[in-house]
Amino acid sequence: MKNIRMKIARVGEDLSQAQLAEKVGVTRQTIGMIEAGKFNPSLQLCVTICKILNVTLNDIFWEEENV
Amino acid sequence: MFKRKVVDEREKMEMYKIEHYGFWLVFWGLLISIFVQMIAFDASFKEIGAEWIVFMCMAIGSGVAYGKAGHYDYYTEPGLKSSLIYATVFTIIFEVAFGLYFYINDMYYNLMGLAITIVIATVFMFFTILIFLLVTGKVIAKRRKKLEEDFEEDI
Repeated sequence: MKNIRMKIARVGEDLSQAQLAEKVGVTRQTIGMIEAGKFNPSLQLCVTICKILNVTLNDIFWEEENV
Repeated sequence: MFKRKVVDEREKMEMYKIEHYGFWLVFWGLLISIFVQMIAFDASFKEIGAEWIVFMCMAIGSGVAYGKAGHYDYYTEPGLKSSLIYATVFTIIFEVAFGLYFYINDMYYNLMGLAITIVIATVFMFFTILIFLLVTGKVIAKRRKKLEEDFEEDI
């Protein structure tokens, strides 16, 4: 499932995939795959992404049942 | 120069996956290669020795590592049922292979003798594998319990 909320949060912080990837310490492909729902990141990586995007885990990684 | 890995967790996982497939390809490839050389070309231990050593290193090394981490296999839990299944499957594979080896290379006096030898070897091999698997299963179950206790909650 695509992670639209992460994409919105990233754009909200005015960051490109490449910039976010550099801040997190992963490749751009990894960020792209997380946003596309093709890769499930570890909790540690989720937390790092959340800290950089100034959001909580719930904001971008929690899936509502009816979503 | 190569002190720090430059791959992230996704790349690492993908690389592990590739290495996983590579490992099993080499593992089964080596086993098949050894059997084919023995059965079809009557190869001596001298000829297949290096492959055999590599194969055994892989088998023993991964087996010990699995055991230490408390793993058994992907599809079954340690116990009588899984041990019976594996013992039956491996006995059939090995005995068919060895039967073919003796038959193709004319290493028998008469066919009945060969059949009796294979039947005896089958029974012996089945119970050897079964006992080995049951003991291994017990050891792994014990190891799992120990690992669980290491991370048990205090309250």
